[in-house]
Amino acid sequence: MAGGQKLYPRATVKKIVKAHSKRNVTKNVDVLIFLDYALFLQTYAHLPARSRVFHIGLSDLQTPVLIDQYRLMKEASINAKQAGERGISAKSVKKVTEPSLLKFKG
Amino acid sequence: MATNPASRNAPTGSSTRPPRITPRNSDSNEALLAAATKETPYGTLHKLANLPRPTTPLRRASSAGPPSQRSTRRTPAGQARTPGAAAQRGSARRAVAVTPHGRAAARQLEARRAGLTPGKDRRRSGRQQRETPRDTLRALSRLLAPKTKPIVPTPPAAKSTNVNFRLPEDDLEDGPELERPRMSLPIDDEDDDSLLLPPQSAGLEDENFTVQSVELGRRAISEQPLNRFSRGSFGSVRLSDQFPNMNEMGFNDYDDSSVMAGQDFEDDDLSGDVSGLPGDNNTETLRDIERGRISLGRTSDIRPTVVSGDDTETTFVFNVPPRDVSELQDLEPADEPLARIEDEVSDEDAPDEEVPDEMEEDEVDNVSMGDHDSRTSPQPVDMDISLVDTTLQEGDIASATRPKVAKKKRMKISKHGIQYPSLPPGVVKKLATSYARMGGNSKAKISKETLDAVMQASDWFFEQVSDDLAAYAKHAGRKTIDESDIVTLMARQRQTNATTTPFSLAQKHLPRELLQDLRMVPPSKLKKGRQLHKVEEDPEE
Repeated sequence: MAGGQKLYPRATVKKIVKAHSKRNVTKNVDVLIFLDYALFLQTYAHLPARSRVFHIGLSDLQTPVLIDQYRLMKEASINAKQAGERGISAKSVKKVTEPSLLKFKG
Repeated sequence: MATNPASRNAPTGSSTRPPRITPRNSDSNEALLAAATKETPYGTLHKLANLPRPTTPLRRASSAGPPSQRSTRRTPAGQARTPGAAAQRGSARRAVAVTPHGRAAARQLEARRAGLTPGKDRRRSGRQQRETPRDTLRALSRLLAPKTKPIVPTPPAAKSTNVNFRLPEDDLEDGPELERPRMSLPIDDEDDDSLLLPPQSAGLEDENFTVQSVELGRRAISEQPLNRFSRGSFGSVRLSDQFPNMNEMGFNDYDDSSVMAGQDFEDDDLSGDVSGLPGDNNTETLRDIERGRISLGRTSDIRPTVVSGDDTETTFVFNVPPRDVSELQDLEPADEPLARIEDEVSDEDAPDEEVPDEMEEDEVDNVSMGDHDSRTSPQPVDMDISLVDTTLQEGDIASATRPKVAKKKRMKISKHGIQYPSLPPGVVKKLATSYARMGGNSKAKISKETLDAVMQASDWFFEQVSDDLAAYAKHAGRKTIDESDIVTLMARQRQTNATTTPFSLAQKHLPRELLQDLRMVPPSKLKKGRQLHKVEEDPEE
């Protein structure tokens, strides 16, 4: 997804986590944390291909049946489609934020 | 000897018999009688068993004529050959039985045939006499069965009779029944009303902080789903942002105030209190208010007068002064705050926006913020202030007129009092866009507002994740967040399972450079036992 350039500022992630947890962070944990974040942001792009097709087919009907995973952008895009919006509106993102966060509550 | 059997058996036509039968037949008539006396059922059976060839009745029938004559002679052979004959003769001879045992046996046989055994008598009598209470009950039930059926219908019949009798009374009865509940309920209702109403009015009207503190608890109880968030993300965001501001406000001015933008109030009181309104982006507080009313309590502490305005159901506008003096210096007028307010608080509409503008103008005259002179002007707000609000505004900053502000990282403060940056919006936007496109929207664009929302969500996400990680590390007795923690977290998030390892996920989602770093992970994962593994890294990048 990210081209040749650096995907994200590692130090920033580390700082954020450190500030919130008030704990030090082991060396490469931030990568995994960012991975988790990526999953959080993810759409259904990374679901297995057949289920993706299934999703797309269903999206025409605007009835997302296979929502087994709340992923922010995925949900948001589904939401946006249902609302008939062209892009993804902030509203749809906000709508999905809470359930997504809940889903990612450890 | 031999002649007798031969002559007797010859008519039967069986050549083989004579030798066998001979020994028995050789006996004299007396012996035959003795044998007959011996004919107990066992004896007869024994004989039958000994007979090698039971003579078929046909032969007998054919020879029936002559043997019948012999039967008068009652040869033992004739008896033995057919059971029927034996039985007849046995019975006949039993009377003749000499030995007492034989007689007894004969008697018993006859008794059995006659069915005269004492057991039989008992059975018969038993059948007649058996009358258990159950039988009596049965009999009773049979008798009563027809009667009982009518009994069941009787009660409805009684009702019907009642109804028939008292048509008007029924109405009356219904009336009193209804009235009873009414009697009890109305009293309760009155009480309830009295109880319910005062708290609301008190909460809104009174400026007591105690009441508002009650509201805090109420929010936590009532909204459980939100609760989780509020503790982890929302609440902390609130804490981080507002607390420092509040302090500073106390020091500097009372600029930070929750202002009720009630139309009534605006004219009269607000000018003094509301000084800070327009300039600051207080969307966070607004959000907080929407979700829970904790913010009210805190803000209300500072300014009770504003709280009174709540009764009119006006929207809240909180002004949060910049945290740091340095930030204050950077402050620049921004149009954005209004837009943000609109975005974040979609529910609260035009009045809020308009109000702050008006307020700003008034404030400019009335209250001059030492630091915030620039703020009063409607021009773009400082980066710092925007930062204070939420993570949203980097894009705005980039667009903002002053690059130097953009360079500054907006720092938020965690609940531990540590400043932290938010993820650069560019990164977030890139990720979100790619994911949105993969979701099927090939054209998907992410507007600024959307990006703001995503940024906010990601801030909350990081906060939540960090809290969880800290909890795991603490539970493990570590002071450092370890790979095992994040692995545990991802497992608990159901992101990883038996088939999906964090490493496989990373291969899917992360570029190689990061994978290289991750390759370090698996060995360390194996070393889970290792407890105090401190690697402190200073933020290099």
